[in-house]
Amino acid sequence: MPYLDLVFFDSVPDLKLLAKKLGQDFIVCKAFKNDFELKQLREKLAGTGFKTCHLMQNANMQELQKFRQKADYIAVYGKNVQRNKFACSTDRVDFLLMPCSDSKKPEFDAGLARLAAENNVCIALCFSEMLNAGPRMLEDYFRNYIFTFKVCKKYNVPFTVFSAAKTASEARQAKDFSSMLCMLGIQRETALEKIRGLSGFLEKKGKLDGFEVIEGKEGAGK
Amino acid sequence: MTVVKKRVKALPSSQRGKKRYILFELLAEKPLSAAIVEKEIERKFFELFGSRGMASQKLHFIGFYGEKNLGVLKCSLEKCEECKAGLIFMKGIAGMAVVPRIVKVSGSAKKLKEIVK
Repeated sequence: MPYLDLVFFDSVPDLKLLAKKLGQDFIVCKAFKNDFELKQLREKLAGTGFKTCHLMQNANMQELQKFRQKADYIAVYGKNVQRNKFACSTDRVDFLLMPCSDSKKPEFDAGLARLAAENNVCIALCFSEMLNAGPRMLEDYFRNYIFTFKVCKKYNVPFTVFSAAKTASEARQAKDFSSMLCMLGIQRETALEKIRGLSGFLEKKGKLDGFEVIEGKEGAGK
Repeated sequence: MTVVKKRVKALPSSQRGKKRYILFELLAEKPLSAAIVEKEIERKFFELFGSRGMASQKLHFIGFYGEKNLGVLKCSLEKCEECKAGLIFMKGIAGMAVVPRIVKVSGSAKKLKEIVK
């Protein structure tokens, strides 16, 4: 399926039903404490085609090294300059979720955007946080993300919108998030390209199957 | 004796501005009623876009088919993406959690009615 969405819940029956109804695949994101938890989730998701993602809430290089080869993807939760800088300065991180909070001054800037573009880190907005925000907070989010995506577009940083649902009712059709990007000042064609191109981005990064790509290099086995 | 016109002359179609019809589905446990859905859409759009935004969207609730939980919304072509974004912000109707989904956008209501049937 061309559309991918990232969620924070791991109820397989709910995910399967949503995948069928919404016509998309899911990346299940969780802050794993150890390898055993990750292994358990992998077993739970076996045969579904859903991917796993480790969520990092601290700028910790050891944690990144530990889960890099084990989880399919690595995501860093932003909303903090230190975490944003950590995520943007390494190509081992795949997603930077919510780089900005609802503060008056956005935590993401042009310098970080340039770093993210160099290391091919995808900037992602979590829709569920906007869905559950009050009117005042929503206004701040809109202001900060209009700026963030404007900067991302200027420096050619990959960006997208995920539902980041904590329950099945917060999940949305990934295709519809192109309208959300339009609302944040992105042109319709670019927005559609960004939402559809997520699989392409992961493929380019060599991570669509969850492993670093080694096939395709001719003569690798010789 | 002065003759008072009962109706003003309709604006020619070329000056009315282009419109789009959005077919949406609300994934919910039970069938929903049209009146409640219309009220909730109006409330949510007002909260998000305000009076000025809603006026420029030329929003018009066409109908809701309760048995399939499918609805049709009419809006202006220029603000179509804004309306689609507004719809995905809906999270609950009458205390029931819903997952909105845009099924199709069309230039005529007739095509959408065929899909609903």
